[in-house]
Amino acid sequence: MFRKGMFKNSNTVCLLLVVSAIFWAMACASSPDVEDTAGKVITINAIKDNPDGYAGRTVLLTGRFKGWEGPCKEAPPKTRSDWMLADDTGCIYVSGRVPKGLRPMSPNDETVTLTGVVRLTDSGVPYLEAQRP
Amino acid sequence: MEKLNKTRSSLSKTPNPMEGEKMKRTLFQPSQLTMLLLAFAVLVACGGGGDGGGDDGTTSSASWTYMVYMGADNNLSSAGLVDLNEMESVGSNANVKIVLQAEFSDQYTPNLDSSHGYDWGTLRFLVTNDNDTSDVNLAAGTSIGNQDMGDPATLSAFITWATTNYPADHYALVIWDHGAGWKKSRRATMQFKGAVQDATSGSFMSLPDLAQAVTDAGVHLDIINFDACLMGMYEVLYEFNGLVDYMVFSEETEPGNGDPYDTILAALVATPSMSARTLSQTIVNAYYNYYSDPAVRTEGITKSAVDMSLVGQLHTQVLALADGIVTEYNSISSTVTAAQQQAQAYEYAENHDLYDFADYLATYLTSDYDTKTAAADIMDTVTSMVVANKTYGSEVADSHGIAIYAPTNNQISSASDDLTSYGQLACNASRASVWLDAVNVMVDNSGDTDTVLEPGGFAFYVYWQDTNTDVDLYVIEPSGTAYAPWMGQSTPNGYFSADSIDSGENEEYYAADDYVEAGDYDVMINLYDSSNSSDVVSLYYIDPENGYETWQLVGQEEMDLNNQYPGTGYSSLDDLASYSDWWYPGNVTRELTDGQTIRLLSGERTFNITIKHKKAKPIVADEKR
Repeated sequence: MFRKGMFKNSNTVCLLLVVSAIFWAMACASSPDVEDTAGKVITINAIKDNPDGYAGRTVLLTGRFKGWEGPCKEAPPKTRSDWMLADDTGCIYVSGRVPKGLRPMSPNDETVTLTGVVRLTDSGVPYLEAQRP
Repeated sequence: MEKLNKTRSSLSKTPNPMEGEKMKRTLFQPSQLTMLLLAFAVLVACGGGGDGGGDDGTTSSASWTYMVYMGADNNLSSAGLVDLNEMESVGSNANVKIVLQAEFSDQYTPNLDSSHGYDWGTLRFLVTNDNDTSDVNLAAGTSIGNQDMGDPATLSAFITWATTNYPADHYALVIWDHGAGWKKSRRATMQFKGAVQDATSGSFMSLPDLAQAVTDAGVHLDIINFDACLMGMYEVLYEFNGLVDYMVFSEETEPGNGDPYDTILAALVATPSMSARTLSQTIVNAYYNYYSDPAVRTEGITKSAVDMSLVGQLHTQVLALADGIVTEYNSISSTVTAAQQQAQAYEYAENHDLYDFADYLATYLTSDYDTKTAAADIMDTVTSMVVANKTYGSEVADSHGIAIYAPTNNQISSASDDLTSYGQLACNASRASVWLDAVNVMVDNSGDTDTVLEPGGFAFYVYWQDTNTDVDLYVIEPSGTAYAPWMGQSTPNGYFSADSIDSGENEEYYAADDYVEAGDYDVMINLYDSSNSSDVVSLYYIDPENGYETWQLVGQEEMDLNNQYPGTGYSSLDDLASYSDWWYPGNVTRELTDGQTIRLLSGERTFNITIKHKKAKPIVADEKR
């Protein structure tokens, strides 16, 4: 659990919430293509529903490791070793190193959290280019 | 070896004229006449019916039989159809027989039954030109039931069938599928990964099984071409030593569509007298030309062809290198470690280009060491035996055609017992010093053997309002060292997003590895620059291991530059946070819990990151509170 909260001053908190709400509202108004991802669970379906809006954006996803045997129906987007990540909303391919200790030919629904950049295939299908170095 | 050559000769070589004369003289002896008639009957039976037989109903010898073993009953199914269509654009003729055994997936290509009458079984056929570049002709194939393509006996039977029914002067075998070098599967029923997955049968053929399948077929092959990822390794070469003349493979992953079969086979059909060496070079060049074409432009591509006659020599030199590393390690450890860090690596980061690895040792060790000599010898041999090598993309530019397994301790998994499995490969058998011994030394000495790891998987996400504001996320790991995206993306226990100043985003991330060192992970946030003089910064946290499977807002802080940290003199993180440009929200702790710990062989404390000083920054001291 994250320890040591930062709420030092309740007035500051209220002010900041108001300020941030205004800023976020402005941000949303100026970027209609994609919802603001800050602090929200980015679902796979959100990306698939709006691939152009997410293309090029860095996102952090949490899902279940599906390796080469998951519910993504399309072909691997970049290499034959691309692997699948699924959540309750859908499935997306990830191109990049498999998390340590996991085996793509024997996935077991391990929970995986990773950052990556959303890319699109030539046919416009989104996938995640894993940012793991 | 001798038996294999003999088998091949009996199938392909023109009879000696004197032997023919002898046959004529004895042709009319009754007992031999009976035998000949029987043999003729067998040949006719094999060649004429059902799934067997040449396209012209005879077994006359071609120049080449190009066998493709396509395990596409998995998520590569659609790529298999693309490649089959490429083969059909060329097709077989009298001199070149393109023979396929393939299986496709009902899960990933679910309409093949209705659209092509496919029964989801295993197809065998001679591929012919169907004059249709838009679709495949699966009806040309004969179903032999649903075979387990991951079973070595199935591969062996295919080779036997193909070479019996389509005899040729030369044989090429393509292993088409997923590939993973030598690595091990976690499934108890499988010892190693290798290549060829059959999802329906739940199998994945191991590297030793692949070689055994070729041995059992009893056919010496001119070429084995792995149209699969990550098979370009010394370990793979040695497993097939003596079974084949040339091997073609890739050190890195391969794009989904793999080889461009149309251009490769068109070249072969145009010049069926092509030697095995030339054909292996042709495959490499065609692959490079396809993926480097501006219309395709797929970077990170490697493909190489190797003369197998020098594998024994290479093996001897690798053993000498292993012996040098083992016996001289105390004196050369820093150079070996640097070679592991600097040498060209691939999607499996523990795989390094053998030449590049050896080059580092040969360059930076003095002549006092046997390791240096062995490394230089390896470079010479690799140069001689790699008859074609192509790369495309700067990230694989230092690839020379053959990789080798050279992991650090944080790249192995004790849970899946990587090193025990590695020791069972042919290249690690029955010698005083084998490469496994060098691997063990490198692993044992690349970290603190007492390090205990805890489940990680947590992440921090920092967001602020103005993209013109430069905020930096710092994470101080249990060692007491602070890391931040502007320093680089790797840390000993996780990784960062790109620095916001580079990405142009008003956000930065830190994601912990799946297993991390026990201790505190302190988060510090610095407002480095802001055109508005202040900004509101939000910190979010996720930690599935502890039940936080959705993002939690830790807090928000208005930060400004009015009371900046002067650069020296803070006594604690709380003290640093008293300045208006720093915020210390708190930390996440991973405590030792005996019931959950996972201990790697040597821990993973030693990890050298590359510090990229992209701009001047205040330095966060290494000591903690």
